[in-house]
Amino acid sequence: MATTDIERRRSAVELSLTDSAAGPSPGSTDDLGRRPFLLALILAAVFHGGLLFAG
Amino acid sequence: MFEPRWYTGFSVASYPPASHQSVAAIGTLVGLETAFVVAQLLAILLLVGGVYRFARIWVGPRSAGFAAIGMVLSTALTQTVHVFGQLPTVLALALLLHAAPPVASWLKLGDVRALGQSVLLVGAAAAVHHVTIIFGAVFFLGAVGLAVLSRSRAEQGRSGFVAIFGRGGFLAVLAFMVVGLVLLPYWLWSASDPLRQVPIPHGAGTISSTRFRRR
Repeated sequence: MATTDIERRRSAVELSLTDSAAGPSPGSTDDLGRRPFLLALILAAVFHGGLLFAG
Repeated sequence: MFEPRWYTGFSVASYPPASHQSVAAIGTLVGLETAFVVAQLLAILLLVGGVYRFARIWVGPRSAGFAAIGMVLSTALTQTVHVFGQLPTVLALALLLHAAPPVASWLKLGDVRALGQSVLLVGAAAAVHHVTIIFGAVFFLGAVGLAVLSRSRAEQGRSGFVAIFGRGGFLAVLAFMVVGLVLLPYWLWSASDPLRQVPIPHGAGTISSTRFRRR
């Protein structure tokens, strides 16, 4: 049981240090995963861009 | 190397130059004040990508995206950008975070192209802000290196550990040489004139009153 817990915990924090370690591949179609990233870009442009240009 | 037109004149080697040169380059098109705004915004967008890519080393794309959102909404970034106007810090951090995935690829897979990307990005970050790479090398790149080492030891035993340790050492030496070359004018100036500068008051200095800042 203890070993299973350790394995589960290890897999939860395991590094994705394979070929994909260079970040998201351009051809990737993980739309669900990309949505928060695109939202972050838009938020940054609107919120920080707005403050910067207003200032 | 001496700019006489501002603040009674100063040596342009008295600070890593890349962020200021970026503003100057953009300023030829839109004027200096707008150029600073544009450069700062580009640095923030670069930082969003950097946080996402750094987070992707550890978690999946969705979680990494939320990490990027958290960074955009963080008070730390807002304060750094809109209160203190720390363009060099933001830009250097962005470049350094973009260096983390290639560092991981080089250590794990021995990808020579990733080695080149790592060294160039660390060198670019050093050209923007020297202090950020000192802390960033420990807290970001160092953490990635330790994680790769730890995992390799568990999976491949001693041989994998030694190989990755060797790659890490090679990367460190190469990066140190490039950073040294980039920052040589600043270090030479700093060694010859360490304490006669007049500190320019800015908000970051009030956070840590014990830290001496030269600008």
